Amino acid sequence: MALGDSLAIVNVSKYYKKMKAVDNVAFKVNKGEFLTILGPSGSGKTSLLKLIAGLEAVTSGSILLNNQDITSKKAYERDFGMLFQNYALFPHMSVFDNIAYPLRLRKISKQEIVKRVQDILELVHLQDFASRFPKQLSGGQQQRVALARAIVFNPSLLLLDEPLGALDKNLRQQMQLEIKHIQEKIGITTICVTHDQEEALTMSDRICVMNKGRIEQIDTPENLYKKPQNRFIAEFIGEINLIRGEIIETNSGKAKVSLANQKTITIEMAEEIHNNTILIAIRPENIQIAERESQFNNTFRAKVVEMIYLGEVIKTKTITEAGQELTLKIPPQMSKSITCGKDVILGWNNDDATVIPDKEAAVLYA
Amino acid sequence: MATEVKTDPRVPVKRVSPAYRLTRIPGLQWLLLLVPFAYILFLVVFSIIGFFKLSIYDETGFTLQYLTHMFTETVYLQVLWVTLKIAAIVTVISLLLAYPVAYLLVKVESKKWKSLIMGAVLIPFWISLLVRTFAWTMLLQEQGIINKLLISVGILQEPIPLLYNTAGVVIGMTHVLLPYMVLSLYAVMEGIDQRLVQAAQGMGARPWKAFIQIFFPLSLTGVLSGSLLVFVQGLGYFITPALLGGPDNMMISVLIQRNVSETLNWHLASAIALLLFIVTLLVLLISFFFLRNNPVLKEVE
Repeated sequence: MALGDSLAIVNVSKYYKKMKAVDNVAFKVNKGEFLTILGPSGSGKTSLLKLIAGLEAVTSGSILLNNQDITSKKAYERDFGMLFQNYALFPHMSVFDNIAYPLRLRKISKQEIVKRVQDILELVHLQDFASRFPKQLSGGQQQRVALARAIVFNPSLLLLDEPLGALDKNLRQQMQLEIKHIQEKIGITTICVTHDQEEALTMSDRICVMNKGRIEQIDTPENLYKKPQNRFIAEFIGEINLIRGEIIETNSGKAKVSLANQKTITIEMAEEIHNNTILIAIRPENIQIAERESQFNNTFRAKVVEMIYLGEVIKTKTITEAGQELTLKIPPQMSKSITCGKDVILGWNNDDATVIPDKEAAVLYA
Repeated sequence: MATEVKTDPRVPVKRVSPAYRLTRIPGLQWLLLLVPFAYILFLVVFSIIGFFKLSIYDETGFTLQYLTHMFTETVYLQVLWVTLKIAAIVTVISLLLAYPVAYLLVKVESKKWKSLIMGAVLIPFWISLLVRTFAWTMLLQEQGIINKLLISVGILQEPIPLLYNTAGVVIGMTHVLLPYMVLSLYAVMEGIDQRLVQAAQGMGARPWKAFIQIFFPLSLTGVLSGSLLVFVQGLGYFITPALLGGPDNMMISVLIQRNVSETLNWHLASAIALLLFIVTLLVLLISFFFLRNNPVLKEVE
């Protein structure tokens, strides 16, 4: 079984003519880690994966595998397993031959090939399908074959390119867990590219969020969700409320912030923010309907304007007295007491909020 | 139980154009199909059958003498053999020439270059066959450009005969049939997912190995269909072999033409045509068998 290898991306850039697809990106993937590169389309995530796979050459920077420079190595010299979005199964070969292909290239003995293909087919629960051709398999089965083929030769790195994009929702959720289990079982270092944030949150140890060719933040799924470092991350992952405020004074990591409703709150700041205008980011599930104003650190008076029934929760949109739009999620049983047009008191605790710089404001004040 | 639907008098009936009403006439689409079908049936199938009938019927009634002629006189089988041989040579040469061109067409990313190459391939299609064939007689004759060039460069001491022999026929026919091969190959190659080749390289296959093991096998359906198209057309080719060929390499279509217009033995011509027809059918049947057992074309059961 592969023990896993580490990969370092050092200041890598990729230009297509004048377009910067990947712009000075640097990060490290640890042994056995599952790292997901997440970003909207056009963020450069697929280009980055192609650079790592060696399918395209970097414009500048270097790629290190176990501290050895592999930047100039061609794709066929890198020994990485790759799972393509469309699976890229060879239509003229049976399932067995598809999976045996990388082994045959490595001149492994026939008995060994038969044994290893059978073992891997068992791992992906496709023992009885060895003699089928790709066209005779369902989407999920094709995906398993592609995964088996990508890991059968114990590659030093597994690359997944939008691995579940072509599957329907139920199958996708099932395969997310299956891929994660297999990855943990064989301990292979994995880099996955996706635009699906749910997929990224489910499978990854860490997520690297990219936007316009740059890395916005690399962090664990939990930190990314709870402590977004900037407005892009905050709005890209999950839903969030952003409340504009002005810093009045800072004191040992705490800041006094005045809000639009003339209230002043004291809030912890993760890092130094240089401009005075900031955004307080708070998730809808952390805002609650209060009975008394003293119940929470912060409260707003607001009017309910819209209620959307989502099954588990009711997504409720409100507008505060200061004109700020706030979204929250309330349990369905509360719908009896809350209706559209009703005035409510919204409350949240400072611990649940994060302060991020207001980028637009930064431009204005510059 | 069916409930009666009454039209509401307050809702105005939608006005439809006469053309739309025409399409509503039941059976009209079958009538439209019938026209080309009848055309093929009467003008092509019936006339062919009528012509083939000549091979087994003459003034004395039913006879097999013309068909047995085919096998008792060596000249007919000999001409058939020459025909098969030339068609095969032309097919192989066009395949060898067309494969790189088609591959280039798929690989070239610039649209400008693509249309330029495609144009070069298609230009022969826009020039009359007769003009092209006469052009070859100019190029290939003993005092023609090709011989003069080869002598002036020093490759040849004296001119070699390129006209009125197998070489001339092969050169002329390859030129005419090459675009069919290029287009057949291109159509299949264009549909091959380039990511498959990338995937093979990602698994450790060197580029040439990925080409041989992945791209080439997937292009085989194009190779087969292109070869079939060229070979079958080559079997019945007339103008080029008639103008560029000589007495030693007479092809079957030339022989048929001579019997029709020179010796006026239509019964014999019909028998030879039937022979060509059967051979062509056999070639098609064999290829069909190969294509049917191709796993790439197999669908989900």
